Amino acid sequence: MTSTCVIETHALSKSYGRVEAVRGVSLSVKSHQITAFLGLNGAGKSTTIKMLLSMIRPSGGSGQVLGKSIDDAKDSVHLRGQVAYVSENKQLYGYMTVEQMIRFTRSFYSDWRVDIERRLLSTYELPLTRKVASLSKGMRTKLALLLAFARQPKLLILDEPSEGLDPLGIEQMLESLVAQCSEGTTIFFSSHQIPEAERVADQVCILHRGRLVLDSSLDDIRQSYRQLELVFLTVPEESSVRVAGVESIRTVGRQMRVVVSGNADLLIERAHDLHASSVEVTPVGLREVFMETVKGK
Amino acid sequence: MLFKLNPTTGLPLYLQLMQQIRHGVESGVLQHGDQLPGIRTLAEDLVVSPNTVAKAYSELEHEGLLEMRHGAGAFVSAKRNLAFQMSRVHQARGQARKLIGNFRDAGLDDDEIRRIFEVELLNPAEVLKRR
Amino acid sequence: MLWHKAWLETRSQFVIALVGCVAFCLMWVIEFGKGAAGSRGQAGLFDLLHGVHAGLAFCWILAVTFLMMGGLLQEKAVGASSFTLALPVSRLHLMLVRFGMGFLQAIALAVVPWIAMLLYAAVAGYPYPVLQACFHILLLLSGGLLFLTIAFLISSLVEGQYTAPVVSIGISAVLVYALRGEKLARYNPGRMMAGNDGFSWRTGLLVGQAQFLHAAAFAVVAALLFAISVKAIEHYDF
Repeated sequence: MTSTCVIETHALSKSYGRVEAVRGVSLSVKSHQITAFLGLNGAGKSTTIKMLLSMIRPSGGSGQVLGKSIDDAKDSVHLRGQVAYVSENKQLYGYMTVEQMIRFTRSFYSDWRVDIERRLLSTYELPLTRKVASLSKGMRTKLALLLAFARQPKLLILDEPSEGLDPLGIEQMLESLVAQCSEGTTIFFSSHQIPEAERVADQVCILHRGRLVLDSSLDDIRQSYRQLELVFLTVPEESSVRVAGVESIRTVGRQMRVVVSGNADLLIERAHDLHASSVEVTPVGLREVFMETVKGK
Repeated sequence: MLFKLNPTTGLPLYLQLMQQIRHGVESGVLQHGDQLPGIRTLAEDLVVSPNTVAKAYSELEHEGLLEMRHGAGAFVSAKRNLAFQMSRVHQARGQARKLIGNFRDAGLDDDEIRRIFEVELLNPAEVLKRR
Repeated sequence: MLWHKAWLETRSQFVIALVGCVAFCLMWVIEFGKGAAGSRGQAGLFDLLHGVHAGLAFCWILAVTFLMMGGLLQEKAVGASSFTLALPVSRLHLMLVRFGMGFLQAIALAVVPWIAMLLYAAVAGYPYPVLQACFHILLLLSGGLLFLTIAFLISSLVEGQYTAPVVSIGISAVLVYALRGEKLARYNPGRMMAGNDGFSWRTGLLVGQAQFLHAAAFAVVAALLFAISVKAIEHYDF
């Protein structure tokens, strides 16, 4: 499977006056993968996504989606025909009924899948004749998801897809996501729900204060990040423990807790050299990795 | 076969899946010729990325444990020395049982024993040897 | 299906505006029709219709201003702009359809009340010349085009469901008020809409020369305002 880049940005930036919402973000989202785009509220995820879809003009840098420039209006219209998108607020047209929304959206895309549309209508139990304005938030979210999932696009971009969904809804959404990926769609979704990303993501990108601070495969993260609990009779200086890969050190009494993003074996060796009386190694979940990445900066 | 993948441990999901399939073969849950679910079906079932399943199947195919038949799916393939592999694991398990028994007699509790194995698996000397 | 969407979006407001304009016209002609016809016959009734037409022009400006409120900025306030902008259509296309629907509705708002008035005149025994009605409608639309595009421009610049129409009506009012007096009156689109130039109160008919140049000039300004609206939306960060 050739790995081309479905989304490629080069130092993409956006400033609003003095506020830098997105700073020099260089993304490479590979095709046929599920990439999770994580970050705190206000980190710049939605702004980045909107730049990819030409809703917002970048202040600097460039980007390409499906090989087409996001700066070119004509290119952008063309690429949007092959991209399915679910926005953060999942707002649709209140004056249309569910059925009208489906018919309206369907008319724009040649990759519409009637079979998925029918299946999701019954799974989500959406009332066809109800006006969108009178739908609950959960139902509206499901409709927004249906309008994106009832297609076979090349790229599916979701901004906080689980927001407004109950646990069953989240499960159904993730199943649809996985099914789309199986059919060849590349998935790029932003979230601050770590557990979802942990289950389905192949690649994880973390955005913090507008900057891309982590861009790695989830497998690599799982294999390299470790938490070490060291016990010393005489606690050494933290600097002597700071080998390459150390992300954070916390010392309380004779205990030193070190989180590393790699080279755990190096640190164990160093700990032994410094006469640690006990060395415990535990894996680090994505949540901790996320916290480590956003806390220290 | 039923799988249970844990996304929060330090082990990549595809490795967990491989382990569980291997374990299935060793324990007899999976017999030679049994068909495993297709990549898409299993991915949707477990709600994991299809790439995870694809990678696991691909690696196991390299190891000779699975045979991918185009269009038909993944089939368990009993290698000639599978029996030997099974006995090797069986032997190692017996040795580990004895060793763990010794540790327990020495007063170590199960958590401490587990940690010891974790550290040793990451032991630089071993790592260098593997390299 | 963008036209269908534009229709669904404005359907209720359009129906209300239509009923309002028709009711307005009929109320006046029914109230004063008998008296006007009684005192001066055909000329009287025709004068009345011309007068009501001026009132219709006023209502029309209010109605189309409200009908033109909509579009991406208003969708942004509700949150639906993200959905619309993700569609594989250009912003220009979206605006053309919205303006087009508004324009068609504006035409209907000029034509249907006049049909009602024609019917009344026929029933009253003084059938009104259809050609005259057409002239009135064309005058209304030629001058009204400017107010239409002012509303469209304001809806593309000003956020806020209530702020935009108020600003638009404010500007229209200032425009009409400023362009009064001998020298400036000829540039007043409101004046053109009412059709007082070239109107003979004696016969109750429009007899003067058609003001093609004026209409063309207004059309050019309207096109300019439309172009500015498009540029504004194309540069906006949603």
